[in-house]
Amino acid sequence: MVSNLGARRLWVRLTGGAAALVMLTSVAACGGSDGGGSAGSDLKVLVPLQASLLDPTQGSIQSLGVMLLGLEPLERMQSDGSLAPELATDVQQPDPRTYVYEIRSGVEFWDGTPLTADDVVFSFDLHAAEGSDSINSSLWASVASIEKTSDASVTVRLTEPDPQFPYVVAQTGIVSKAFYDSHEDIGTPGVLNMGTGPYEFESFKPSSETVLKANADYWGAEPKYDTLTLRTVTDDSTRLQAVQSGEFDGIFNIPLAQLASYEGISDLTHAHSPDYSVYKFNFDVSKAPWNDIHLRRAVTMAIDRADLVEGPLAGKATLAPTLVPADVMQTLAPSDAVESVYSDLESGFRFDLDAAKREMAQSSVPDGLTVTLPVTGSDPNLSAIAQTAAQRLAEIGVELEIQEVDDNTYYNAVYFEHTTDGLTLDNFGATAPDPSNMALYCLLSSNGLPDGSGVNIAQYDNPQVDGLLQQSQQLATDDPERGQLLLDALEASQEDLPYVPIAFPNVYAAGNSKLQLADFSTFWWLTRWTESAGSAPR
Amino acid sequence: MTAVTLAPTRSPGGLTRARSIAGYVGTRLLSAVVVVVTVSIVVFAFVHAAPGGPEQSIGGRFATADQLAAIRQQYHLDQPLWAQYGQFLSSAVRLDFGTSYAMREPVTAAIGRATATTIPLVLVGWAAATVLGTALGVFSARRAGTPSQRAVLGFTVLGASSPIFATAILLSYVFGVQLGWLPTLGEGNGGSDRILHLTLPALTLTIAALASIVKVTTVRVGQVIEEDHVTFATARGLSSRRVLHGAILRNSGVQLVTQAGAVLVSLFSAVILVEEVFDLDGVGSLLLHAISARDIPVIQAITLFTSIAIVVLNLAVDLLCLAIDPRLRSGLVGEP
Repeated sequence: MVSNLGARRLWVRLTGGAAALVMLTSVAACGGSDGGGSAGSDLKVLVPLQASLLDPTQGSIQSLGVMLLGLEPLERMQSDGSLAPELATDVQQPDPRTYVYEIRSGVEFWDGTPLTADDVVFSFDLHAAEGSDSINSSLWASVASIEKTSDASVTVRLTEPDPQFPYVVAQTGIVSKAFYDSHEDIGTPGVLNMGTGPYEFESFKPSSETVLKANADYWGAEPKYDTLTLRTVTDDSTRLQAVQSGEFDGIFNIPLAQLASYEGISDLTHAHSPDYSVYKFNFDVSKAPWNDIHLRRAVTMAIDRADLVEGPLAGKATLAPTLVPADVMQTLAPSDAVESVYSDLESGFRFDLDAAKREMAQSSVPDGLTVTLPVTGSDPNLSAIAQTAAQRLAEIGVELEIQEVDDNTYYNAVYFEHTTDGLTLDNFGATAPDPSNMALYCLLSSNGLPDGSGVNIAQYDNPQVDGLLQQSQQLATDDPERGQLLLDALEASQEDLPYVPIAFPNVYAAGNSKLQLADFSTFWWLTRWTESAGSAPR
Repeated sequence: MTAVTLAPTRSPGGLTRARSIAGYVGTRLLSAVVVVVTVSIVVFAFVHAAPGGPEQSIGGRFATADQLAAIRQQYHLDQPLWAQYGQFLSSAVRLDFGTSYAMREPVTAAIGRATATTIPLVLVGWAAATVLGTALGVFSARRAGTPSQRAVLGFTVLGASSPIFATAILLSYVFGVQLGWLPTLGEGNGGSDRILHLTLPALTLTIAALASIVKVTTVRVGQVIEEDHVTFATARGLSSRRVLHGAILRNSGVQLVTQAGAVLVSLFSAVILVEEVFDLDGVGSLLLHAISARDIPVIQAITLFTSIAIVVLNLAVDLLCLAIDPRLRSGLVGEP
C-alpha cells in the first residue's frame, strides 16, 4: 500500500494536480478550510460499524461503541476488563442464578425525567421478553424473570447459571420507558432515543453517522467533548483519506491490509490489542467426507499456520493453538496451566506434508477431492488465507475453489444454512470477554443446526465436551474451576479436530492528539472510550 | 382565409397532429407502465432468489431457526411470493411502500432523505456537463484539425477513459488531502456546508459525463456547419452568434437533447459509485445497504422510482425532440 500510495502521489503531482487545479480554482476559492479538520473539543472518529436503528435491540458488538455513550448500562466494562457499577450502584448475586441490581438514585434522562427501576425492567424486557425482535435476544435466553423488587432495585433470575450474564448486562443500554410509550419509530433519524449518558443523541443517519452532544446535566463527571461525530465509512480509500486530510481525528479497527498506509500518516498515535476473534478452518463433521477423521487430520497437517500468520496476516496476529486466546483464558485459569495446555494443543497442529499424505491415503477420498470454499470480500484476509493454504492443500490432493461472495450469501451458507461443501473458513469474534464465550458458541452441540443458531459450524457434537462446558456454566463467573473445565473441553475437542484455529489477529486503532488510545483494547466498544485517561479536555 | 391560416391549432391538420401526439404519448405511457411493472417483478424475483433472506439480517448471526421463523411470519415472508408481490403492488399504487426492515421507518421517509443528496448532485453534475460539454463541442467543431480541438478532445477522452471511482479518488486526494480545500466525504449539514461537500462529487460526475456530450456535439455541429444553409446564413452577413443559435444549434438540437437525456439516465447509475467513494448518504448508498440487508421494501421502492424516472425522462426527451423538430411531428401523422 505504501508503494501504491507513493506512486499515486507522484502521479498526482506531475500530471493531474496541475490540470485539476486550474479547472477548479473558482470552486476551491469558495472552499475555505472546511476540509482541514475539526476544531475545539469536537471529536470526529471513524468507527467500524453502526446500527441501522438507534435502538439497543438492533445494536451489537462495535455498533455499541456509539450507542452505549448515550444509553448507559447498569455496569460498564473498564479498561482492565473488569466491570464497574454505572447506572447501578451495587450488584449482588445471592445465588448463581440470581442478580440483584440497586439502581442509582438522582439520575435523570435527557428530558429531565428520573431513571427508575421500571425503566431498567423495560430495557431488559426489550431483549428478554417472549417474541422480542432484538438481535441480542439469544444472549438473554437464560433469563427466567426480570422483576422490580423495590423502587430502586431490579432482580433478574436465570433458569441456569450463566457466567457470561454480567457481560450481557454491560452491553445493554438503559432507555426511557416513558419515551418508548409515547413515541413510535423509536431509533429512527426523526425520533432518536432517550438515555441518561454523558452524550445525548443529536442526529443519526442509519448505519452511517451518529452525532452526539455533551449532556450538561450529566450525573457523573463532565463529558470531555462538546460534540462527537462518529461515522462509518465502507470504502477503504475514503476512510484513509478522511484521516489523511484531518477531517477525522482517528479510526478504530483499521483493516490489516491498510495498516501500512495509516502508519505513514504523520502525527498519528497508533495502538493495537490482541483481538478476541479467531481465523479458523471449519470441518462440518456431520457431512461426508468431512466426517472422516483421516481427511480432517490430513488437511490439518497440510495447513502451514505459521506461514499464514507471516504471509496473509503480515505478522499482525498471534498463532492460535485453540479457539480462546491465552491472555483471555488466563483471566480465569492459572497461567502455568494455560501455558502447559496451550503448548500441547499447539503441538497437535504441526505442519507435516508427508504425514498429511499418509493420512490422506487412509481417508475415504485417497485420490483427493475438490472443495468450493466461500469467502466474503468484506474481509480480504479470508481470501488471502484461503489462497495461500490452497497451494499446500493441493499437494495432498485437496483442491480449493475459492469463491468470493457477498456478505449475505456467505453468512447464509456458512452460518445459517450450512450449505457449503463442508470445509469453510471464517473469522469468528467473541461477543463478550469471558473465556467461555467462544468455546460455547463453537463447541456446544446445541449451537449447531437445526435447533441452534448454526455458529457451531462444525456441527460438533461430543457429549463429553458438552458436559464439561455445561458444568463450567454452573459455576460463578470468577471461579477458577471454570477455567480448568474450559481447558479440559478445549483439549477434548481437539482430538476430534472440528476446527483448525489459525490465528488471533491484532486489532488496530490510530488517532491524533484528540483521541487518546492508551486504554485501547479489542472491547473498546464496551468501555467509555471517549473519556479515557488523557483525553482532550473541554 | 388569412385568419384560418393564422390559427393552425384549429385547422383540421392541427387537430389531427394534436390527436396524433396525444395518442403517441398515451401509447408511450401505457408501455411505460408495462416496463415499470416488469422491472419490479424481475427485481422482486431476483431479491428473493438471492441467498440469505431478510430474516437473517433482522435476526442477526445468533438467531435460531425458531427466531428466524417468527421473523418470517411477522414480516409475512412466509407467504407465497405472488401474495407478497401482490401486497407490494396494491400498496404501491396507493404510494405506500411499507416500512424498512432494517431502519424501521417508512420507506418513503428514507428515500426522501436520500434524494436530498442524490437529486441535487445528479442535476448539478448533469447541468454542468451539458453546458460545458456543449460549449466545448461547439468550440471543438469550429476549430476542426487545430491543436486546441485535439486538446479538448484529448482532455475529455481522458476523463471518460478513467473509471469514475478513480476520478473520484484522485479529486478527493488532490483537493481534500493534499490541498485541504474541500471535504473528502459526507454530505454536509445543509446550506453552504452541503455545497462544499457536494462539489467534488458533482465535479466527478461532470467529468464522467463530459466526454460523450463533447463528442456528439463536435460531430453533429461539425456536420451542420458544412451544410449549405449555414454557409448562406454566414454569406448574408448574419452575426456568428445568430448563425450559431439560429442555424447551427437549432439544427443540432435533436441529437444534443437526446444525448443530454441519455447522459442524465447514465448518471443515475454512475452516482452509486460516486456516493460510495465520497460516502454520501444518497439513494445509491441506500440501495447498496438495502441489498446488503435484503431490505426488500427499500429495494423495491428505489427500483420502482428509478425505473419510473427513467421512463418519464425518455418520454420527456422524445417530446422535446418533437417540439424542436417539426419533421418529427410530421412523421407522427404521416405527412410528407
